[in-house]
Amino acid sequence: MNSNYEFRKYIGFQYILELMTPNTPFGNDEVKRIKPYVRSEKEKLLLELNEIERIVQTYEVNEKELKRLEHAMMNLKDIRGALKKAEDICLNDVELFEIKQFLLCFEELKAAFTDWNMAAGLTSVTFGDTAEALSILDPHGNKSPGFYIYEAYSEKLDKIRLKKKQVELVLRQTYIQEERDKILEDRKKLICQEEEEEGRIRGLLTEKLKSHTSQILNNIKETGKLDYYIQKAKIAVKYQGVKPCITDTVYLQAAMNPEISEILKEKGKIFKTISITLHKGVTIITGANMGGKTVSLKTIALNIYLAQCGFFVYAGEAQIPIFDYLHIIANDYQSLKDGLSSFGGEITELNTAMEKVDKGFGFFMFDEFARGTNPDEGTEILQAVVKYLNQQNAITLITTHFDHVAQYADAHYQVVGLKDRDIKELSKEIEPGNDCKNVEVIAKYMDYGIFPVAEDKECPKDAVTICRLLGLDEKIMKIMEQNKK
Amino acid sequence: MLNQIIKDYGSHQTVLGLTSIGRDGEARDLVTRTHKPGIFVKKDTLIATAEGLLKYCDVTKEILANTEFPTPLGNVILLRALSDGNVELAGPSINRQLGQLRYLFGDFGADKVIIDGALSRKSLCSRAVADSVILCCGASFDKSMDKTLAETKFIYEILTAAKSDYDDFIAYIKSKKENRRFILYTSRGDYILPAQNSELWELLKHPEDRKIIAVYVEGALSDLLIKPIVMSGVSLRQMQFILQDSSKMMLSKAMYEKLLRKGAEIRVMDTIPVLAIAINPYSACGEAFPKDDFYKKMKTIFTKVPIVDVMEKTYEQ
Repeated sequence: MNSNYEFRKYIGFQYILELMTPNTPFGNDEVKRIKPYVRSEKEKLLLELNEIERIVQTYEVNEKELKRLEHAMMNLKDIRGALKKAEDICLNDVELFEIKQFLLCFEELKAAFTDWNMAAGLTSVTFGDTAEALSILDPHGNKSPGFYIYEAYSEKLDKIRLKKKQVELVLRQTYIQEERDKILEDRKKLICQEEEEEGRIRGLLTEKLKSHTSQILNNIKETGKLDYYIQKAKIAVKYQGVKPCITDTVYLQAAMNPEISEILKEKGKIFKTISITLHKGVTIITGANMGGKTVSLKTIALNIYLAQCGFFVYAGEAQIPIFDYLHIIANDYQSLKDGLSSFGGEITELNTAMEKVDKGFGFFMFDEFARGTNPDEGTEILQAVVKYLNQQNAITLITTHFDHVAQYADAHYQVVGLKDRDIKELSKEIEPGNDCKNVEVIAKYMDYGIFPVAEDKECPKDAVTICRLLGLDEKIMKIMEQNKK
Repeated sequence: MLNQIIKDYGSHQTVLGLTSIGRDGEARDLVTRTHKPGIFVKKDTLIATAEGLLKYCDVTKEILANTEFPTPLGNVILLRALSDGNVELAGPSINRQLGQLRYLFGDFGADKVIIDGALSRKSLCSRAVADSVILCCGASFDKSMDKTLAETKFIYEILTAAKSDYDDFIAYIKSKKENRRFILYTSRGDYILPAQNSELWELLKHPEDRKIIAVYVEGALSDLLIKPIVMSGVSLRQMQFILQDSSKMMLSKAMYEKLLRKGAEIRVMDTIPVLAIAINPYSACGEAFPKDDFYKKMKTIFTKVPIVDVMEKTYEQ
């Protein structure tokens, strides 16, 4: 599976990740670790989706409690370094202080979680009791925020400190330098004793805490998971996501892609949602240039990938299978780092993809495959790919504007494009010479929606229309028209 | 001086918060490798110091907070002294962090916060961080007493720069939201907001028929900025250069004097009071100024501020 940064960026998954703002370093770790579930982990995926559903469903009624819970989370500092250190060496005062602070904050987190979870009702997050660990560092039980080596730990320490205090009192009232020096000398001895005893106690405290380490680490893990689920729920609420049904076919109704939707919104446009059903075998999307085939592809890929990773998807309704692998071949994001031409690159990439074919149930996507070569041979290559993949245990989606490919596929969709538009109306808005604006005008009239068509239906031919609208040189247009005749 | 302040406050029931923008309290000066008095604090004093220096603090320590302000010696830790004793200080050296630390001290009950500064980090005695300043000088600064006196006078003049009397202009500057490097003020009472990349000397040279009587400079007033103005021959008679506060005055002594000779004035929006000048006639290297002479000369130069000789050791309460 090519689940690298480029792939995630390409389909708009990276955008979703960047919307997530975990409250704890532990939640952040979960976000960094995100990877798609595999087929054998179906139960786990369902459990996670159900938990997120609970948070989403109670989001509004539970908002005040959620705020408190998130605030409690934010106060947690990462003490995993100190816990690890405690395994081998004695902790110092600052580390002991930080563990105490963590345990105090954690008490509040647990209380906030209990209140919040009354409505939310998560079943998979459980926190262990750390009151005993706290009592080690808070011997008076008054939950004071500071920490020092308390006299309560040892009678000996208590006595040393008492003596030290007396010496310091005398020192305060002594003004002759020689006498002061003598008292300071006595004080030095007491400080040595104090430090020695403090060191011994630190060792004891470290040893005692060690037996609670696994419990604390487990709580940290659970906090990370909770934080992560809350983040997932929040971005589901933000773009009205739905819980995907885990089935064997892909069915997306009114799917959208938040990143592209935001870009369009900035330009004052609205994202046209996409509905599609993909069965095992090959589905082809054809359409005109500038018709938004790639947008459809990215939207479908994003939502499939989201579901694989245990996210809500951005659609009115969604059924999505768990795949063993996903593979996208798109010129846009494949760099020419290997020094191959775009066509050469595609073929190498195809080889990598085909190696996965017998490794379970897969999902392939090809964005205008072989467009870099001549249409005749390109069509032949693509026909072969379609015929081959039809036989495999995989769902494949291919966009192309080659004719005679769709007839070998199981299903065929077309981008609406300029089909239903009044070209005369459109031409009125075109300003000769103002290319930037003209591209915008065409984009405005372009319908990015897709609809199912017969398998052998030819590709819509909008390219010439677009050339004319963009004011392609008259002489060239003329020759084109003569040739056509 | 710091020890003197600690002692003086010790007789009151004042909780002190101490920190340093450099490193203080070590028995040996790390720059001059000479003996230095340590810092001896009273019980209940709050201290902000680097984690790496905790082991040199012999007070009984209660850790109160980890500020996570980094220093080369570890994060700055806030602690409470549960006994009297010696401490070593190394606090943050960024204005914003010092400002935050000041509030944190307050949260834990400090009545008074003292920041041990350094002349080379004058920018840190900004109003955002401190309410008042104590200036320290002595034989460690320079072997020549006259040079030390002259330099102290210069620093004192800068620190005590007067508040601008163009109240309307000051009110305008404070109310504006966008940042501008300069704002000009004319004799007719108009404000001119020049383009962001304009050069100050050009603005002053061609004032579009309007007489400019004051310039507000956002951030530091540096030699680089002033030199072309002085060189251009623009008349600076009674021109006010207004700064946020005196910590923004970064001119060298020579450039400062040139500016004054041309008739210009340095003014500020917020003044910061200099409470006292502490003097030490002994240098870290063992040299000394004639003690009484130094004190007397200081007294004649600085008539408006108390002079305190830190070597006058007294243990009376």
